[in-house]
Amino acid sequence: MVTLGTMSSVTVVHGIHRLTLPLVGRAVGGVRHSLAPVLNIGADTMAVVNGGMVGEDYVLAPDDLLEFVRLAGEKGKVRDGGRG
Amino acid sequence: MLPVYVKDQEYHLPSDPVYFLAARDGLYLVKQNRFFRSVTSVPRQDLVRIGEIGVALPQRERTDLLPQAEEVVATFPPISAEILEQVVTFFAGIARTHGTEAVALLYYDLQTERYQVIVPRQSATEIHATYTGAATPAGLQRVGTLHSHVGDVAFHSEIDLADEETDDGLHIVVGLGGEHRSLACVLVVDGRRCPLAPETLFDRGWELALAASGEESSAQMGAVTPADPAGPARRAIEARYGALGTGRRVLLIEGRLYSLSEVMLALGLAFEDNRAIDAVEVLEDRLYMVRYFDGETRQVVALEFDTHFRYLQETRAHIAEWMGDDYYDFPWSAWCPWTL
Repeated sequence: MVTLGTMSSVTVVHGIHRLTLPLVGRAVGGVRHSLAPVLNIGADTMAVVNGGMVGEDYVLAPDDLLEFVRLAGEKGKVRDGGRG
Repeated sequence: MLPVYVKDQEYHLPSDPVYFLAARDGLYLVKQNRFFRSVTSVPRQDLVRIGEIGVALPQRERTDLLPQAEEVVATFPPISAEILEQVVTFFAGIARTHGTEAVALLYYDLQTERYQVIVPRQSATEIHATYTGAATPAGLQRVGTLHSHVGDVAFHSEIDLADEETDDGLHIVVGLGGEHRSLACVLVVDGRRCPLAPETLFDRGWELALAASGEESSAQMGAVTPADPAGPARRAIEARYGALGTGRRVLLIEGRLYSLSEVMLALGLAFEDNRAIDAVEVLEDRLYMVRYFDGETRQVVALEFDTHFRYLQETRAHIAEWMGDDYYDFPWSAWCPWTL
């Protein structure tokens, strides 16, 4: 198996998932691209680091808390009035 | 970065929260936490992306690997009947007063190991609801969503399925219509949907909570003149932040003391019709709430914000939920002097 890095870590949160990984120095966009299939991150999410929204070029620092937050959600019956 | 295990004769169940498992029939993604354990196959097109984060995938095919199949096992700590009753009471109250669906988000407090429900900002009709996302409050883990069906049984519609496609977790529908109230519960992981029987999720007494909640309060409200006009929105606000007016008049944020008017100014809410009532530090040094009266809509607003005064979410309740019959006698052409 791959050995976990010893450098400082970043906690990544998406919905029910919470992972601590050695991502310091990586840009948010790259992390999103790579972790999307792992944490099932949708394209309709914004990156929030330590409670503040950041751009995709934000470079992660030690102990950052990165969360991919869904901008909005939608519930309801099928729009044509039928049942789904 | 993420471990890769090989399913051969030496394989023992690892404890890693997320790992890859190379088996005879391909690569699998395994996720395990306090809520579920899932094993899902990894599509070939994802292998390159996964490799970019330092996952060392096996380079050569091995013939001695054991087979693996996809599986999802729910391990949620039981949800109390009390939580279900709170949610259904809220949903029933919204259906009764507005005739619309409603959405709530389910969280798990990692310290107290109890579930918590937060109502997001939303817009709804009888058959549809949209809600805004918000960062997970510190100390909580987002578990999933709950929403209601008005005048219909519980089921997951196509819109629900699309909404939950990239929202791993528990998704519950409460059917308020039909002969009896009903629940439809599903665990979603990587787009796979695993229906769950309510008795596997909720503590004993959930059937009573589902059936009784809302009905009792409406019966009580109809039988006597309500001494307490509180509706579900007021109860939700006061359950989370305390009784209206009992919060602080100042907040210490990042080492600086802010008066309520300074908080309103910083949030861009210093309008003539808005009057600050109180404030609460919801999570130490992380999350704050200011409560104010919105004179234009005659609602009490509990607005959560972070240390940078960024809007996170808000809950609104009509002022009549505090004033009761006084609301109808009050001369609303003037500013509300009613003592909160």
